[in-house]
Amino acid sequence: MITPGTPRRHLQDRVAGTESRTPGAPVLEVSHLVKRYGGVLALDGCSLQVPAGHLVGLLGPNGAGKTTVMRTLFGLVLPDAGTVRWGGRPVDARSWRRFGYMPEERGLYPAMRAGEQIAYFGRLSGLSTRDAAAAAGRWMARLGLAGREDSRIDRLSHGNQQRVQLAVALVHDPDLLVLDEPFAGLDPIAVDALAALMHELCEAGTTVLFSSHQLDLVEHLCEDVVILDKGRVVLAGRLSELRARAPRRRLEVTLADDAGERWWERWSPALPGVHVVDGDARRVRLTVDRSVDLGKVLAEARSTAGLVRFDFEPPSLSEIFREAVRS
Amino acid sequence: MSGDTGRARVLRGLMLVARRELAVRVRSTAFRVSTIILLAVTVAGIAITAALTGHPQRFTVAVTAQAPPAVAAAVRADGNAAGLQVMVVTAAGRAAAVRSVEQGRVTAAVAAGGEIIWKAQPNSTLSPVLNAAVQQAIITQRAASLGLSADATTRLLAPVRVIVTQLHSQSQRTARMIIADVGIVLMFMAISVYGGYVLTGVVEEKSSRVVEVLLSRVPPSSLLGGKIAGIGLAGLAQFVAVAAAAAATLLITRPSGLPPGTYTAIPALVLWFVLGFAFYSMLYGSLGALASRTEDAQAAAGPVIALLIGIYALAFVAIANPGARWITIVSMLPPSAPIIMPLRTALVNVPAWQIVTAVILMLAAIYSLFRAGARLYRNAVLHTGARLRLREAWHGEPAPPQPAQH
Repeated sequence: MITPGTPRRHLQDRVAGTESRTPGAPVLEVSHLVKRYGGVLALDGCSLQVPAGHLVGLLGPNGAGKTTVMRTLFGLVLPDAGTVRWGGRPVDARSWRRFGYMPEERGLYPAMRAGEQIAYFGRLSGLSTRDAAAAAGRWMARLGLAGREDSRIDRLSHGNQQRVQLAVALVHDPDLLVLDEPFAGLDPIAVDALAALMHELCEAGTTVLFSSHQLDLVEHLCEDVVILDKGRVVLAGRLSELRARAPRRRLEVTLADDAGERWWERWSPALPGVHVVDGDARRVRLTVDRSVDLGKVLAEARSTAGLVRFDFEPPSLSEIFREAVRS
Repeated sequence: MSGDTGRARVLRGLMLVARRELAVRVRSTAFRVSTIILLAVTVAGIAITAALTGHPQRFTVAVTAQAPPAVAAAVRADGNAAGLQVMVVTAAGRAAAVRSVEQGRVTAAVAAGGEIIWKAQPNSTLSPVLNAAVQQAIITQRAASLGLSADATTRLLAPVRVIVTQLHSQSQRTARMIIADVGIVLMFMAISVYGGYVLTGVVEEKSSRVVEVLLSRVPPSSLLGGKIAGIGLAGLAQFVAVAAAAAATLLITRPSGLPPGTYTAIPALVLWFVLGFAFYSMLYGSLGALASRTEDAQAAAGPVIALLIGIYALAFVAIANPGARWITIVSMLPPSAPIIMPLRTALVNVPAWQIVTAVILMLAAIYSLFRAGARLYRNAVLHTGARLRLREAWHGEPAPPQPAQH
């Protein structure tokens, strides 16, 4: 459904806004956000940075504050304390015009025609009537909605409504695209198409921040993650670094033949930091603290006859996530 | 977003939102049908009333050749003076005149010696005219026989101008009250209907969740203000069309007994509609934001509806006693001014300073409501679930919406 990238019109604006900034420097800086709703502390000193042109996944359990953080970026929620800066300046009307947002609760005017609706939101983001109409047509074509310009939203299929929603977020070619649970409710083909589009946008220079509960998907999609829990950032950075820094790794030891019940207990008991997850007559899965010398574990494993595999794996994103959120 | 750029942004967003709202309303079948019905009812109502009451009555009177010579002229002259259209036909003789009366071709006939022939009961409107004409004709005859010159007779019989002063003109007062009545009903209906559109518009945006996408691009004040302006313009267009149709129909049919202030009452009604709608739709819109579902909308707007109905009831008390001091006071205060002030204007002479005061207070109230409404709107509009309380929305205390489990 996605055709190769079309020329981007607002590139000049972006370059002008960020030319003095070094590549990789954070363009979006969220600092010490606090938001209290009555007795509930939704954000508790939340800080995160997003480098320009990066694709960042915002993760966290339900109620961690992901949606609230996203809303503060647009001034939809006014924080009790803390700042949001874009390109070094506090966000204001000018920056909001260059942001695109797809909220978790999708929303369109049900009785309005698709093309008209996308163009209307383009107008609200500052495009002229002509530019908005042209951009609406371009995005509809790019998202596979050609020929649906005059369809009312409530007459479109669920999938096409999602595409219109995405076109609304993209119509003004935003510099920052914020997608709240963009993959929720999509079929696997639509997931792939959206993932490809997000990559393309990043390559073209758009900064993308999205939230998701589908950790395996996030793991394949992006390099940068921010994990939020109870209104605070508990972990953030490049996935490869987070893996390297993870306190535990995963180890799997496999034997050629059955070695009886709980064969691994015959290893030296003096292996602190090694924990058994589960195992059977031929295989055991372990977690190993970062401080443990893997060579010693290998030596012990060799003591058991018939060792065929000694697999050492960095933790998956979902393991990192569980670890970060559990504490 | 400070200073002029902020204000310019609010205004630009407001105009875009208003344009969409206006287009949506004007394009809707409901709007077109209701406009046509309103126009038809207005034009027909005025035209029929004018046809029934307004036109001068017409009579045909037969005068025989034997009747006193001046009687035909006198019948015409006195008929005109009484505001009637009296046509005089000549009959060959008494028998022919009687036949005409019997057959209903003429209302009455005048024969020799000033005899007035009626079919049955004399017509109460025409009878005094004929009596006077006959008397005048016979007196002229007698004067001539007494030797008075024609000139002297004319001078003797010149109409006596009797000066009549009515301290309370019953017909004018009735007409004014009818205009005031119609005005109150129109105003109440227009404000309720268009305020209701604002209410449902706000709640629909909330329940369809489009509001979050909107608010990520335009500030709440643009959204609320634009919605009110767009729907208000649609309402104003309809209101002005009806008022213009009413004025045009009045000008064409020219019904009698229209009090002098009728034509100026129409633009005054339009002005108060604009102010009243702006005021009440701010209330409707802000309170509508407290509801999440269309089913809750009416309950959320309950206080506004109650207020409007209270003022509607008050208006009928005021009609009976438009001069009372407390009526003067409430006619200047914002919530009641849009209905009570035009009502007073229709019934009594209202000093200009009172109207100016009412308008200024109204504008101030609208602006304050706009500011307060935008705040309520911002705090309440992203809230989902149970209807918010006013206090919670004002302080921005609603618990954050809990996302559904995935």
